Amino acid sequence: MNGRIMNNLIVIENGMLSTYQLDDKNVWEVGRTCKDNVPDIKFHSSTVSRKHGRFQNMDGVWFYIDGNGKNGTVYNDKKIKRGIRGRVKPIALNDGDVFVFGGGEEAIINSKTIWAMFSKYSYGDEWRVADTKGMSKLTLFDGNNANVFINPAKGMIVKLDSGIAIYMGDITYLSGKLTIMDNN
Amino acid sequence: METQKRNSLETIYIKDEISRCEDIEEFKTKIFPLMVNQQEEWEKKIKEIIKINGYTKSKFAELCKVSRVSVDKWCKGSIPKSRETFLRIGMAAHYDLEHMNQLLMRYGQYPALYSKSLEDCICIFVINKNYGNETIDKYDYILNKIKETIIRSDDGDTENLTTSKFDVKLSEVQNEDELEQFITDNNAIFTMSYHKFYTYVKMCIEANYGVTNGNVFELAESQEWSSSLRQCVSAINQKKWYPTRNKIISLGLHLSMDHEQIDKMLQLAHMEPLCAKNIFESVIMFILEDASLNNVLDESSDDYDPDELLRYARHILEELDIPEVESFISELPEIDDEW
Repeated sequence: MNGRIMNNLIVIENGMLSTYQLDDKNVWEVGRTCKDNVPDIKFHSSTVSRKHGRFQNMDGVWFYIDGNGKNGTVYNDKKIKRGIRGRVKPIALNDGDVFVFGGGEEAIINSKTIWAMFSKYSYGDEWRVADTKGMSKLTLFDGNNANVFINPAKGMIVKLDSGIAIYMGDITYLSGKLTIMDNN
Repeated sequence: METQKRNSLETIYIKDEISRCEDIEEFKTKIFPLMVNQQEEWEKKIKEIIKINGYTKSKFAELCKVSRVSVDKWCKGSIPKSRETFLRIGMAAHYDLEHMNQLLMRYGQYPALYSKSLEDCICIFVINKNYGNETIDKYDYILNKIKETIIRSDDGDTENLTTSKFDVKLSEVQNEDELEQFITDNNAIFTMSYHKFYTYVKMCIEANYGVTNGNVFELAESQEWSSSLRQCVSAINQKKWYPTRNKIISLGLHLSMDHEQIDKMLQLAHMEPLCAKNIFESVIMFILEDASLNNVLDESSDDYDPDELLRYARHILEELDIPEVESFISELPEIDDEW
């Protein structure tokens, strides 16, 4: 892996990838931007609540605390729910944890939901976008090594020695020296 | 492998059955009979350990730092309540690492030895050194000596080693002096081994009670927490607590955590999740499932009582005759006439 250790949130909304370096501050509010609400991590989708949740650092450990909004958040394929008596259940984050904001009960990735990944590695700002529309077979090259994925699912993450790829259906985001081959 | 698979299937089955129980009567009828095997197996195992090693019950109790009465109870199927007791039983039985891990996991439902935990690190060392009958004495001596050193010293920067690499480094330690040096050098790793657990507890408290720095004393005061539980929270604040399983469960109930959160705390303390095959924990699972389903602690209700989960837990536990949970029950508030 080519990244250095730090805490980041990689966010993809409507085809746009942004990276937030979480260590820059202790609390990051997450929500939909509107006239009287300007969160730190700004989403635009109408399925996301204005005060959707927050990422918070405590003693060096990063947590996500969900605001329990209407369309909620799916964390690692499971909808975040409140505990007994509506208690807030902070989530201690690990490298590679995935969120889908605003998608209801399931981790549906579409133009109205927001995909995000917590990462302890920085992959820099130089992400490349590859057109993978209609591909049923994805071949990723890590140097000379080919890695083949048949019928990949949206949101698939591939971490290889020279970079990381995030498959989002029509497009795939690539970092480092990873390249992609059109198999169709 | 087959046994593991069978055990896992049995556990899933029991968990499923617990979640279907409508009330405590149904729980007693359906779940209790499923527990008998584990107690019978344990009774057989402990009697075998005592017999093979030629111990009297008094001698064995002395080695395990428990009363003779406790050993009598074990021999009737009662399962020891702490992981440390299991470590002592394994050392008294002169077990190697493989058998010690089997004892911990199969009979205690505890995690296998974890070298980044101080007690386990020393246990691994004394087992590997084959101290024979002196194993437990060596363990106690080294642990006491090192605990003082480790608590007095400040955290230093330590290389972030994976557990398997740490295991290899530990296996290279030749003698007690080197072990002491090894532990001092890696003090931060031992301290950090529970860091995420401490922080999780603090964050849950802050997110739900709004108290900064996890200062939970006001809550403890209003809920009349036992002094031992207050000490444990205080130790968490100071990052000096060595988590024990029942205390984690007790803390979870006091903080009105659900099953998932208690499992998370156990995982962060390097322990297995709540075990459906342990009779006490199966009751706790029932209490938590029931509390979640019936919305115990409904804040919007006029009869809202923040201690309701605790009182409910006490009510259920007192009704059942479960061995060795007296100290656990004593931490829960007294029951009023409502039950």
